[in-house]
Amino acid sequence: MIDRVRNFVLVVLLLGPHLSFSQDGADKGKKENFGFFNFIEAKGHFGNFVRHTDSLDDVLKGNYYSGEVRVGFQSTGKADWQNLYKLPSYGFGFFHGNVNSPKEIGNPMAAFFFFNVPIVRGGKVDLTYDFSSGLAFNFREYDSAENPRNDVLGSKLNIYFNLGLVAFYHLSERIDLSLGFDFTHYSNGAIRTPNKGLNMYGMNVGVRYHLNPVKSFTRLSDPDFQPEIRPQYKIRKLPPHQRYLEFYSAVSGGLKTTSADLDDRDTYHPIFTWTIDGAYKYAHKGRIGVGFDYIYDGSMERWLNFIYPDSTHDWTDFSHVGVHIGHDLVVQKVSLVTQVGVYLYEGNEKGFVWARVGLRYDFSDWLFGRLALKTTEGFIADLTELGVGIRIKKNLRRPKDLN
Amino acid sequence: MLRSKILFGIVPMIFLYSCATVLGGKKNSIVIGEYIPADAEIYLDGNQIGTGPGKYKLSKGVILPGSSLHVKNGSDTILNQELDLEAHPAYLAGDFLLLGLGLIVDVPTGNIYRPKPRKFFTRDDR
Repeated sequence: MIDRVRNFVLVVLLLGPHLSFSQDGADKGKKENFGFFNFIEAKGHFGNFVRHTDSLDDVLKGNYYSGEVRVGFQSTGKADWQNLYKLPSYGFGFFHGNVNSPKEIGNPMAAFFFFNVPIVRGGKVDLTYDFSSGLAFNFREYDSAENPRNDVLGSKLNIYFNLGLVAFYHLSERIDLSLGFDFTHYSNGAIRTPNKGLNMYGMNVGVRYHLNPVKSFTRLSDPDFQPEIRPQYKIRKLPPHQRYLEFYSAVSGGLKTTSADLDDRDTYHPIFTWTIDGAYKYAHKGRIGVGFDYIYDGSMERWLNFIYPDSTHDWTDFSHVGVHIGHDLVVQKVSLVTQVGVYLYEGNEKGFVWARVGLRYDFSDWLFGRLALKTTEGFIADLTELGVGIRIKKNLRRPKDLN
Repeated sequence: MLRSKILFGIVPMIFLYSCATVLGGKKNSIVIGEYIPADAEIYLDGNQIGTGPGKYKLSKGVILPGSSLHVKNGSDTILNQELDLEAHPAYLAGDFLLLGLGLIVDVPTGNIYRPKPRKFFTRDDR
């Protein structure tokens, strides 16, 4: 008996540390969604151009085709916002396109962020919408002497934007095939003219390879452990939303050029905007609001001097005052801002209706930053704003408090 | 010519030497600040990894998602914390600035993932 106890104690002492790791190894097998659900994706795009200007007929003679590589993260619902968007996937990608116009337009490349949200998750097929945005480069910009035929993009660096519908077919545990339809846009937000932008629409096909790199962590403690490759898609119900009113103000600045600057590639004009908004956070996902805008467009001085060389102008001719209504789509700290506005005062005519599309990032409860594109005369790019703002919140009663 | 140099020279370098893999290495560290007794015992998943304040470098694979960190002072438990591994924002940003190619190495190897939380008993925790 004493020998048995002694042997038991010896075994425990010798294996103790290893037993601790082994126990953890046993736990992780039972743990739902253990590890990291990642994927690598390759996609090919092909399609045609939206020919919104006659000059494109000469420059863009064929179709476009392009390829991209993505590295992505499949969310599992740890964070609230992931449940709101039905467990989206997101990540980074690199894009290389061929627009069949290497001398005039160049061969665009882009590094971008993507966000892929399920609309319907079926057994073998998922239907999703896909949004990508990033920085595009490797363009041959307009130059009145050397590249006059490119009258759509005035800069080497542009914004890349892609929106599409994509269906995924689960071919195996690790591999999905995808087929989609998408729209692509390049422009520079009127920072450098010409900026008519390049728009394309087409199809895309792809392959997505799923992996769970937690295996490279468990190799040491449990070489036989085989992690799940895909997570369990369980959407968690969130607690009732705390509705609140929000008042915020932002100042932004930027640079702009006009058609009068086509031959001067070095000069930029400053722009400044100031906004005051009131908004109602009606749900986890969204905010609606109204606001007031002051817009100072320094490029107006150059433009007015160009078209009316004999007259004089002051800052009131470069200023605009407007009001807007808007909606923000909220994804945790990031909001997709969309606004439509009208001018109450126009220093010089810009068209009655304008819009704003942008991103806002909340650094804290009171401080945020934003990057936005304001349009004019409907939806023609007017200026790009980069700014900061402050906000105050006033909580409203929770739904259950109303009883 | 210049573009060929970029494609065949710099890009493979970026690809091979990705941000997290190079800068972060294959070890993860836990920082125990000075605001605990010098003889406090530090346990990870039941195994003692050290005593008192210090920076504990642990091989990749020792800290797993859901690992537990215990700090004991004599018979008193002064910390019982579940750890997670999360994609490190600085490495993500670095890889993205290098055209995203670094992610092709850092994500499949898991090197992009680092412990969170990682620092305890520091000045901020007083």
